[in-house]
Amino acid sequence: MNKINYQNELDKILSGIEREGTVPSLLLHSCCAPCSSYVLEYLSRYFKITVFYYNPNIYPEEEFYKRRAEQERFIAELPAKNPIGFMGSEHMSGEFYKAVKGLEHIREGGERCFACYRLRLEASAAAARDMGADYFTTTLSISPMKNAGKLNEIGGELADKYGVKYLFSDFKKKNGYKRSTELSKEYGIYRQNYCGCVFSMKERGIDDTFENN
Amino acid sequence: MSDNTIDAAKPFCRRLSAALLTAALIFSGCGQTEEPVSRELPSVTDFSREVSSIRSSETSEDTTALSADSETVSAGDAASRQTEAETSAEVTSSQTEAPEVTSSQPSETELISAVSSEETSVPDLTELAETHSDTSAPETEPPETINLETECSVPAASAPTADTAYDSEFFSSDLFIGDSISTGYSLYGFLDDKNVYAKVGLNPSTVLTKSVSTCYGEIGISTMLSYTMPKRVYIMLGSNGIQWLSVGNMLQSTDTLVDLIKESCPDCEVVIISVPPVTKGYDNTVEDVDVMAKINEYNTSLNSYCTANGMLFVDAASILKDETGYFNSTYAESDGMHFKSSAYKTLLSKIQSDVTEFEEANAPKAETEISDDILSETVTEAETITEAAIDTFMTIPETAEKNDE
Repeated sequence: MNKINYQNELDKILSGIEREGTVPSLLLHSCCAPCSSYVLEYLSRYFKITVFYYNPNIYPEEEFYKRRAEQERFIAELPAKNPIGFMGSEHMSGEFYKAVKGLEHIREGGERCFACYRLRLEASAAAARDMGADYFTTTLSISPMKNAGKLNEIGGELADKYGVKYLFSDFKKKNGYKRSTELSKEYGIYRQNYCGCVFSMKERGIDDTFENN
Repeated sequence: MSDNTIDAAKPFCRRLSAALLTAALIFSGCGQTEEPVSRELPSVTDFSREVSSIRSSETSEDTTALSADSETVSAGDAASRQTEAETSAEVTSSQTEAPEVTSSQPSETELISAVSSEETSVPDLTELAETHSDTSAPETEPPETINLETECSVPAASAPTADTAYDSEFFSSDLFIGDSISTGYSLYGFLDDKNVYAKVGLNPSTVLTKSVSTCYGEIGISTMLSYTMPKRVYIMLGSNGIQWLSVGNMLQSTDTLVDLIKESCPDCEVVIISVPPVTKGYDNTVEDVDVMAKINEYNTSLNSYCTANGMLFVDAASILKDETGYFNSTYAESDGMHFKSSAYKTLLSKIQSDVTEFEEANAPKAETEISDDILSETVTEAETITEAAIDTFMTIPETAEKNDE
């Protein structure tokens, strides 16, 4: 079965934008500064971007605010052709645990992760509609451990539901993931060693104790 | 003899010694599968120290291309495996002509030039006999290599009890991509040459750019895929590079390779096999890097990558480890990294089992027959709806009747 090449889809959209000579607005959901690094470097050439930091999955709370601070710092330091703004939420972890109830024991990369994708993308779509953004998308596809197909599928559904175009993408292509590790080093960005939720942390054996929220 | 003459003669004497040693190795090993050659080679520990000192001076990924990698430790073992596997050999002390039909022996030349440049007493392995093209399994089981003593002796591991039964026909349409470990599939005769795309020193990055000696000649991975159009492709890469490439970089390269495979063969199934473990002895020879910990980290990432992308991850490492979490020495060659033949059997059995289970679980569900009870209920419901619809549409509204008047 042939997979959709989302990088090609993105290339078509960007070519169209260049031809029109416009600078559309983009609400970019970001999970963390390292993942956003390549995406911002790449897309700021074409869009006015508002980074939307909404990640109720991140555990513990200190980690959430640490990554948020790094996100804001990176935005401030990255030279960009078009402006990059920031919109951050509070932790709101209850939203995450509600969304993944019953899926706690599923391995990383499976249905629990899909529920987390939907939670964050839906909030992003709603925020994009409210601020009148032309597009919304997420940095999540930059990770080889995220299902880009599923992200784009959910993004497409939410685009119809909220009336905001979804920027189809697979940011790990064209060595995007590798570039993000280079930028992380260049800017001295804190780079976490687990996705974010308590379950991914436990799977990687990072912390043996955790609390059920 | 003057000092100058003695100095000038030193390189010649080294080459002469190497040639004599080589000749001794060849004649002692020819046709005698019971006499392993490896014990004549320098100790594994000497190789490891050389590799470590070479690697510590490197900082760039671009220099990983065989100039210093853990494969140099096993250059001698790879050559000895070639000698063990053959049933007859062309004996020569000079370079032989390339056989008409190339087989999948690993190319040692680049490795040898790198090692030789350090002026070790390693014999020039390119002067060892080239194997002939027949890689059919020998009649007898290849002999166990002698375990060379290392600085850190490992307690005897418990005998593994994993299944070793597999059906070679199961893999007849598949392709195994890997490094020198994977060359053993065809060297030992478990798989045909056409089922193996492997080369000493290959890592997740260089597999995309290097050419490999195959039964079709020296070709790149894209060409191999187009020639073979495999049903399944197995990737086992990472033993090379694990010490100096980041997990992120290796994952990126693996993803690029998977994309390339799926573009070349859209219908083929890609399976990722975990990076095999190393022995405690091997790990202890590598300074500054906890090799086994890094292998475990990369394997965890590969597992997540496969789950996210709907691919099968075969956790070969788990069946090859002993209770200490290191490579079971019963399976491990004396270098602590490469496989004895028993490991290949165990691995192939595991792969076949996991693939079969995965394919059965993901097979399209057969249509189930609808029971008569459900069918009659459905029909009744449909009839009720139809009657109601007829009543609705056949009733002429009063207003319409008035308009007609």
